[in-house]
Amino acid sequence: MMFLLDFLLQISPQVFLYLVLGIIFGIFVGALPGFSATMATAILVPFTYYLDPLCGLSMIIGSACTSIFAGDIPAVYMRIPGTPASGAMALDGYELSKKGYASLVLSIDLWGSAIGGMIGVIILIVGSRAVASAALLFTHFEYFWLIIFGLLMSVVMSKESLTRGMLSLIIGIFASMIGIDIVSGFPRFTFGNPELLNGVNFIPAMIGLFGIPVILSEALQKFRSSTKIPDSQISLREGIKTLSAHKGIVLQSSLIGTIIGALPGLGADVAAWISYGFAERVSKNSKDFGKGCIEGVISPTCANNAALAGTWIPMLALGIPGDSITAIILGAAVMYGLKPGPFVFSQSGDLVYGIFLIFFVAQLLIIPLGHIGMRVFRLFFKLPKNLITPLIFIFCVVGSYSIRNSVFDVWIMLLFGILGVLMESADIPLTPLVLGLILGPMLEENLRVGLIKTGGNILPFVTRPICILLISVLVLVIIIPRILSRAKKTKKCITRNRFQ
Amino acid sequence: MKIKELAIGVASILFSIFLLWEGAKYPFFTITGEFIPGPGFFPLILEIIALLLGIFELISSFLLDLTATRDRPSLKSIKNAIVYLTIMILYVLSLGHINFIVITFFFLFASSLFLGAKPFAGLLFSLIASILTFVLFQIVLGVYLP
Repeated sequence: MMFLLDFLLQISPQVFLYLVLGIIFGIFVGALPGFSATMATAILVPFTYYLDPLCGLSMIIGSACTSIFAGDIPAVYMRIPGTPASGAMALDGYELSKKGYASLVLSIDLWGSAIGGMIGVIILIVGSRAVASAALLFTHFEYFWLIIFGLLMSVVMSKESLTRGMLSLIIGIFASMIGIDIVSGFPRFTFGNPELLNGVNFIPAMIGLFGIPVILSEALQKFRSSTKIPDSQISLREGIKTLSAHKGIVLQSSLIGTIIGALPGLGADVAAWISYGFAERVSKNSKDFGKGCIEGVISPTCANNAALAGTWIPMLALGIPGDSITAIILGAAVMYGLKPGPFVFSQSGDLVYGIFLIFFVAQLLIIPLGHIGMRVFRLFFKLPKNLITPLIFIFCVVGSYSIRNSVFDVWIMLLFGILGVLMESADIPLTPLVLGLILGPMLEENLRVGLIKTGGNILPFVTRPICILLISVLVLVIIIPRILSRAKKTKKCITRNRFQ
Repeated sequence: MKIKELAIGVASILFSIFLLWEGAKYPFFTITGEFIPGPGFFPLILEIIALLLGIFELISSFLLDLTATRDRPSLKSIKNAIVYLTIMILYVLSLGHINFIVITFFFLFASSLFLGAKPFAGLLFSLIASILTFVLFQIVLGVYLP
């Protein structure tokens, strides 16, 4: 206890104040649907340039940590993720919320974010050098399989048929191909529209996919009365009780989150989905996933906050940002005199250890400040639905517009929203589309650059040791359970026929 | 035969044909003496997979029976959704042409009435919400609004 107190006293009151301000800002922006943690960081960074490096970084870290947590609040109440990292939370979180468990979900979310974040920070502190050096071994061939793994997990975990999951994935990858080809610079599927040269922006697409079906379903039901989600007071004790009953999944999700976060380019959103998919695979209650399963809440919430700490590992040790948030922070960090790279610990040691400390304190502060934030936003989301629904659409519009100050992005949001409605009515899962959209460019780049490197030889994709390991894991986690479940079904049929 | 599977199968076959037609405009390989996959290489893989999936869904639609059918939304609710979608499209169309606070107020008021709110509550909420949205985003957060 004394050690912890000594540790916390290392933070100056000024740094602490900026950290608190960053946390409040993060909760506020993160809880607004469509306003991502990336956007919160981007808005905040210019205001921190004039501050002391540690004060500036504390504000950014505080904001980034809590905006990911706060993004879960609208995901739970309205199935509209506040940040892309909250996409997985929108599935079971919303389903439980409809059943009157919104407070329990948010309490789990609060503790899960803090614990997941804490585990991520511990791994960041203890193993940053080791994990970074392991990530250095990954080339295009290994990344290709890692991405395939993430994509197939999203297909397998979908409740609907495999073919529909694959179809959704193909649509997502196709959407990601729109714009200038990353390898050759050739414009593809732009149909002569200059706005499409930059490609489909992921954030408006995701806002539309998840938000518009919910908004339109309100119109379908046409609320004549003020329908509200049943709920009770937010009890922190219940949340920690539930988490302690699921220690394994907390640890597993936090570890997956940190590892995925530490792999450059994947980030908290991918970490949350992969962790969710993995939890579903190994869970005894896998059938309940997507219908309101507690494990489906614990898994993404622990993973997305743990991933945030993970994304700092390659940024600090290699100078490669783990995701879009750390990409923005990297630019600011250089201005603060931090020199990310293999020598960061020797050249900017004080600043690095200061960052570790801030990360740690931010996770502790999430609990009291997040609790206050949840209570405030809960009142907002409890307004009658026939009033709140149109306002949510305004947030979706503003969130989509503000990314590039472009009305075109608002149209993208609306278009993907209509696509989402059609897909949901045809029982085609949305998750593979989202992952296809995020990972599509990386998949194509790694495949093509890998083939260019080898002159068209496909063998390195299947013969390199890490590739073999990844393929084996892929087979073990995805294919074998399906074969086993089919075998079980066949066995049941045979037994039934024999008794008949 | 199941209508949904048939529709998905036909849609995915049409989608793959569109991909094939559009993707054929991009070179599959860049010929420079070495093997360099061109911009049409990856779409080609997707086209093949989409086509196979479409055929699979189509075959499934003929093999499955009609026993498991899901509740379909009524014509009236579909009409409601289309009307509300039209209101949304009109709002987006007017962005940048009419003042943000004014058009947002009208959108919020029209929507709340359409969704069944009481006129006075809708009016008051639309007025407060449109002004607060402007203050929050444009003034507090410094976000540009259309």
